[in-house]
Amino acid sequence: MKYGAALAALAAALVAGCGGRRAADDFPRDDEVRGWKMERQPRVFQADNLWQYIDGDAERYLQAGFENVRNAVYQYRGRVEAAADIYTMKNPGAAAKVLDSEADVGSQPAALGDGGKVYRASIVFRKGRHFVRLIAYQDDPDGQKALMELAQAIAERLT
Amino acid sequence: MNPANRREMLLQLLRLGGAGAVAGGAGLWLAQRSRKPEEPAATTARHNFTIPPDPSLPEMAVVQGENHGELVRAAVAALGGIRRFIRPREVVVLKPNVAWDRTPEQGANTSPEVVAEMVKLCWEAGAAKVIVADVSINEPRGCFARSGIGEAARSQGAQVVLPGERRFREVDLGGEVLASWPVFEPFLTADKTINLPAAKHHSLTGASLGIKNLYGILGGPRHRLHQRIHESLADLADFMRPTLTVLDAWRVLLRNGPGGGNFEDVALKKTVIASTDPVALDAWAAHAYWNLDANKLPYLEMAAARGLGSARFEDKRISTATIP
Repeated sequence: MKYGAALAALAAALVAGCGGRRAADDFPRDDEVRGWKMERQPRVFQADNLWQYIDGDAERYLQAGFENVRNAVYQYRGRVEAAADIYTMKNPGAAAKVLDSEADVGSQPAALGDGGKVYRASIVFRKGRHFVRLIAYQDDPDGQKALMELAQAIAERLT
Repeated sequence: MNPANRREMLLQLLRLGGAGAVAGGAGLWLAQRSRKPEEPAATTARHNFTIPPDPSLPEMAVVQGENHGELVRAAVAALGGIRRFIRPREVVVLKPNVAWDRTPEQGANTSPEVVAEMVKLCWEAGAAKVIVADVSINEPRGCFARSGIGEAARSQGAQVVLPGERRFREVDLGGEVLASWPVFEPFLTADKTINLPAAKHHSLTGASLGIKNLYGILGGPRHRLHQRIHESLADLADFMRPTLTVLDAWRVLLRNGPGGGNFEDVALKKTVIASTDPVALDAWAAHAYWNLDANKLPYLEMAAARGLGSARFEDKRISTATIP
């Protein structure tokens, strides 16, 4: 009973956190992008508990105009694990501000959403008022290409 | 006095003593029963784990080379050796940075090899127990696993203590901005503390080094500390004074700190810096890796003003070495 109530509360929080849209809706499902499986279901952090996810780095998002972030963890063919963060900001300008604050060193421009940067094993981009960060934990030869495919699928889902 | 009378007097004294003891015990029992239970008082003592200075030894050692373990060992040796810092039968708590769910290559945590070597050194000094602890930002089990620090510590026989809710004690930190705050228990009960920070960029302070790493002894809503970050860092440095600080600069997270994630932001420096002066160590590293002088890091000057060290690292006795 207690467990069921907790699950219901969690589900409600996930829905409420995204303005009626479920957190999972923005993330590709298993094998929707070839080789990628979701390892951990999305978690949602709001402005008042963002520090529990990125303490020390939270102020950068809060100052730009932050609403919430959804985080999911994926695995690619059992070789690469990647964290995907979708930050929903208050407006497109806020998302652009966060993207601009990301270092250019070692990056190439990425044709994703409204613009982005691709690094050896990570990608950042923005689309509308969303800012997205994908980080692969392993430096795999196929990792960057695979990560780009995952990023494209996320970009397509964001409205 | 004849023997019979003496015996009678002794028996009388024993009877009186017994009756007194029974009355006293009953009184104590009644007093305890009637006393209102009290909340345990907040600990107020500062935790000063420092050792006396030795003018014949360097105050800081900067060692470069090709092997983490050798660097740690050489840096500690340059300061007088591990037995200067750890005595036999002491309980030692090591405080690496295990804040982020990141791999070692991403440079957001202390290298596991540095932790492992320091555990070994503590055993060699005769420590009774070596604990590795940190209050992670991301989920602690994941941080200790992905960083490799959990495995590195356990493989050398250290006890890894994760921050469960019941492992915090409310402490009066006695600071200017830090008052009562939950402190992770291992740091309150150890005999010695060795701080093992990673060298990282930080979006708020410019750099996250030894003193910033001490945030990881605190629980509670730590984000509030960021509102007056320099004052809270000086308070924390005043409260928790480690025996030794060993900065892991094998990899340095130059940008996008403190969380990092991009391999491009990590520079391989293959360096370990150890010091008995936490202020000087932070000043040295901020200057070396980010070209930040102490006046750009107000907490250093605040800490120096409190007598916790010197931000003028140039005035320190520094030993440098390269291990081929």
